[in-house]
Amino acid sequence: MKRVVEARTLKAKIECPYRWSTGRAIGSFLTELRDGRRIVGLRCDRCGKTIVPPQDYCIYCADELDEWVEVSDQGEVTTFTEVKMDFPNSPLEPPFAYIVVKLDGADTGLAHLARNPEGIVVGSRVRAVWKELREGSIRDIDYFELVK
Amino acid sequence: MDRLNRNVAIIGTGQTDHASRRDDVNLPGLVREAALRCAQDAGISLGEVDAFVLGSAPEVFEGVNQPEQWLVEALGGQFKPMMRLHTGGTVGASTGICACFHIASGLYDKVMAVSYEKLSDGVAQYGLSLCYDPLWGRDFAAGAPALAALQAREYMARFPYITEEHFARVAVKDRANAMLNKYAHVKKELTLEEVMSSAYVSTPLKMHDCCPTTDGAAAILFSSEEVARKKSDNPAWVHAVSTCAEGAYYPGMDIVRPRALLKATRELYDRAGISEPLKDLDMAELYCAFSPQEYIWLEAVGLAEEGRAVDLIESGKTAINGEFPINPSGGVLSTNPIGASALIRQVECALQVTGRAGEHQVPGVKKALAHSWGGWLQFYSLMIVGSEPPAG
Repeated sequence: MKRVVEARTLKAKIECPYRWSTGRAIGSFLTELRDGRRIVGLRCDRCGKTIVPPQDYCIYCADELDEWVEVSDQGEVTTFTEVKMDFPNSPLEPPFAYIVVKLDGADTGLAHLARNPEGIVVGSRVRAVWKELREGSIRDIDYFELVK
Repeated sequence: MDRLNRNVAIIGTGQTDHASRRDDVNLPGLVREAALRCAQDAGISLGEVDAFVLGSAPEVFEGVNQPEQWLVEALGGQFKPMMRLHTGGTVGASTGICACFHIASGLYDKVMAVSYEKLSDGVAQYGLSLCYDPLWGRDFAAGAPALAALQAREYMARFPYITEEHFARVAVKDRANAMLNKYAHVKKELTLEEVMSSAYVSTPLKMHDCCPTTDGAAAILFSSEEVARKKSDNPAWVHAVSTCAEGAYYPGMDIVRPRALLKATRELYDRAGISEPLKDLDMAELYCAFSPQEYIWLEAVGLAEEGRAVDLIESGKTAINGEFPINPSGGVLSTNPIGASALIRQVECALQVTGRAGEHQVPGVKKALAHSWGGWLQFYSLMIVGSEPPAG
């Protein structure tokens, strides 16, 4: 058979609604963000690690976790990248930065945003800037900013 | 058990013509092109294949769930064993490794691994964003470039003498190699100046530090030693495979020196009897979708000391005419049909050890390493391919 002479493109769009159950750990984490402007994690006795955002199980040893710990809304940037180009589903208008921040009291890195990336380096101290209207989402923390 | 139960040979490989958009074929047509070329290379018909292993990245890329449903007939898979795998960017390698296991088990003698991606059918960054946790990660769904940018930033923070120009040279090298590879997608040479002056996508990565998105597929026909002796006068041989996974965002995760990759590497070299990889191997195809990853992976797979990949790269050893070429094919930086990219690393190693790589052939390759990464820098697959069957 010869190569197709006239090939066509069919255009379509798929929209699928979803309802994600949060589960116990993330549900509590999001509720604390909304109601208390508090960041909480779960601590594993066996491993001595505090996991933020929390999981129902220890990400090291897979034990069930139920010891809640409040951690600071300030921490240290462990890595970052400044996004300069727009792309689908971008959470903010570029330029902004994705950061991984190790909050004081937590043992895990939390992925979030820095709206004004200028001056951020690995090791920078940053703090959460909270939204006034909070709805139980990780974006109740609007973004992080440098601690001057 | 640290050895495959019986020898596994590679008696055929196939790749499609790779392009930004292959509008002349639909997905089954694309996959079939690679499978047919592979069967033809092995000198058999698709009907003679005992079993198929398929691999591709998330279905959302093409917008069709369970694509294997409509690939059965296109591959000649009617009434045969067929399964599809997914392990992020490593899926192509997992597909090849799973096919090896099929042969090593003794159950099958001719097994085809086929992997593919028709990225232009959808929007790759939408698909990649949907790989993030919907509850706490998706608002920061950075796609692939930002993830690799975070990794590169950590590498630069750890080894402050590394500059963006160091990374740019890798892009220049890979794109020059791609000019020699008839299957490479992006065939346009780059100068250092062009890479350095290209726009930032996600700092420190610039446009030309990043891979393209590609429509393409690849296939490998693995066989038992008995079939290889009968059907092929120049087979390649699988010396060892290893895979390892780790979590995402766990305490102490090291994305510059991923523990899962270190472990997979140790296991691989033990299984293959490799004690000095830089001497015992001749070249590698490393899954470098972004230029800084050549530094990071060279060190993690033990070809360079921590922070010292720069010596290997700057001295020209990783160039196609160097002592230890990395990605003579042009690599993922030149051709990236995501689901197929890791299988193409194995294809390239098989072509190199059998002296059939064409213009990008490296002289005298006896053993080659195929590497890949996937997920949140958390899945790793490795294979060593040799020109002779593994010793003893």
